[in-house]
Amino acid sequence: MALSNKRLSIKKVVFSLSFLAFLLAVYFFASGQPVVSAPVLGALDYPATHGVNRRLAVWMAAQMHLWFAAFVLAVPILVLILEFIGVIKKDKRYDRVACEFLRVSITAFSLTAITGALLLLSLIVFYPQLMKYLASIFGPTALFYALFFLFESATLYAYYYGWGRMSEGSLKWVHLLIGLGLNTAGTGLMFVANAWVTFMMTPAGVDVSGVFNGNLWEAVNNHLWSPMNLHRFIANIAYGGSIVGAYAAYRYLSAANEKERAHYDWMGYTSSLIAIGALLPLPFAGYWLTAEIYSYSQQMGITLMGGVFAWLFIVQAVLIGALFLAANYYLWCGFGRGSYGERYLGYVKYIAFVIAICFLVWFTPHTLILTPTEARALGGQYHPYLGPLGLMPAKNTAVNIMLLFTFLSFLLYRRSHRTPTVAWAAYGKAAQAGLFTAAVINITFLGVYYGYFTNTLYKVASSVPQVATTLFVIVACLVIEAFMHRGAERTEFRWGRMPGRSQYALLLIAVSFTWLMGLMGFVRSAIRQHWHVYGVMRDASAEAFTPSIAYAAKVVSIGTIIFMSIIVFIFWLSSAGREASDE
Amino acid sequence: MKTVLAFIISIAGFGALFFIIDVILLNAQGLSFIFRG
Repeated sequence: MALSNKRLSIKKVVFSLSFLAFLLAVYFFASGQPVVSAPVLGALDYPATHGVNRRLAVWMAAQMHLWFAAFVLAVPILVLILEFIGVIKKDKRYDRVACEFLRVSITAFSLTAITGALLLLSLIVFYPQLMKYLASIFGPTALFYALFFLFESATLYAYYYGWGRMSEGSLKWVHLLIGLGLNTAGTGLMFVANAWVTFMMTPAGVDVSGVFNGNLWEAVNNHLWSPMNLHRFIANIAYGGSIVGAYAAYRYLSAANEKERAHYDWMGYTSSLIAIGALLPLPFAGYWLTAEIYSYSQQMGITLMGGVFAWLFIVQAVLIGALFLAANYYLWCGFGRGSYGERYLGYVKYIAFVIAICFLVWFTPHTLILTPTEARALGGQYHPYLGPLGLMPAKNTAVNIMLLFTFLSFLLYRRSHRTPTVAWAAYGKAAQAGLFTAAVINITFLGVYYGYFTNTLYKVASSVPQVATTLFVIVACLVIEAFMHRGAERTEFRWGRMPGRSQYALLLIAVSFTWLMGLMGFVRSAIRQHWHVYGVMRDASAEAFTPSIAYAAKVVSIGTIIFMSIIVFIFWLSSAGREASDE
Repeated sequence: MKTVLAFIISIAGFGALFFIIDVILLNAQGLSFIFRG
């Protein structure tokens, strides 16, 4: 009890301090004066930093803030969904795990506010002219930001501390409403911040010299705002699920008894299901975001995917491939939870083979880094046979097939504890197999024919029906599956029987997500190159150059290590808090 | 035998459906609701 009181007071102090800093920043932003045009900066417009690398300082603050923000925006969404399922199913298990999810994230809320305040203050100190210019356009949005922030804080505390008191009857619905308010405020907060960030990439509502036309909505609703909102919303859910999954794995590995192990096994499964479920549509949201970048500026798009940054997409492919392999491995281990799991083990090697092939295609580079001797021996910069695999149509095809086979692993996992009894079960399975086969043929045809034998317009456009095919298969298969398993023979999943190594797959998923967000976030931001606001306000600071990929990878990797260390500390704190409250 | 037939009919049926979806989505008009450019 004493420990929890102490933690509460520490939180209050930390939160108050960060809130004070936040208010200062909001005041600065809201008091922005109209600027005639974007200022043309010189080296003297940047305050001396006395040995501090200003870009690095802002980079790290932004990165930490984004990781924590993604986590704390996502977890309440998962919590609300789980709490709602618990109410509908009248299953207290969902309620308990939802409350535990929220407890894990509560410490991270303070850290999100602190890193957010640090980011704003470092931007004001190191890039005052940029902030003045942004404030002159987005000043009024700071009011919305402040309101969302206040509403989120109020609803968060009411939601968390009211969990026990509002657990029955109509009060439970009030509690759910508070949770909905919390999520609305959190998502609104992100949308406002996204407007500022996307304006820097694809400015709208201003002319070439940066003169604002007075239409704030035009500046907010710029080319990237909607796709970025969607991409971040989905990605946050996937990320939140992965971090909570890592927490469950941590607790599973240190569980003292069977009951605890069963609880954390179930928690790990639920959170990883949410993470992978959200990951499936994510490439499509990413594709929309990229298409809008190209649509705004071909040059920016080519810098992103055809220039030096293309190599980071290879790193991305390796990390996402590892993530998919880990997720599939976790599902395959889960076959052991069900009574009928063994009958599907034979399929694992085929699924693994397909996923491995797709993985290899995905990370095949187009332009190789070669010495002159190697290039001569190869007959050019591109490999004669593997070169075509470096193009996007091959990668789109591989990603879609990888998603389909991951979904297949999930279907088999679900069948490991039930067997259909309807008379038409064999035909239902045949229809599902036909659906998968037709989908793979269609995706491959679209990738090969439109990707290599027609013009560029169709090469890009063919990715959309590929995506539609994958989504159709997922929905149609689930519908057939639901009808086919009505009145099926079911056995309970035996929770807590997963091998320890399966839990490391959950940890790997969380680390891969964190690393990916850092690397790809860098790419998104860095394609502005030497512009603060792309094409409108030039960066004249000493750091206005694109760092090498090695440097960026090192910065992001160090950031990942720091962030994951803090996360482990939060896990430990949550465990200590739980043990203290149990006592 | 009937199961194999169901499998083949499914491939043909879903294949035809995918073909129609492809034609609609590959039409520039069909895409304009997604992309601005």
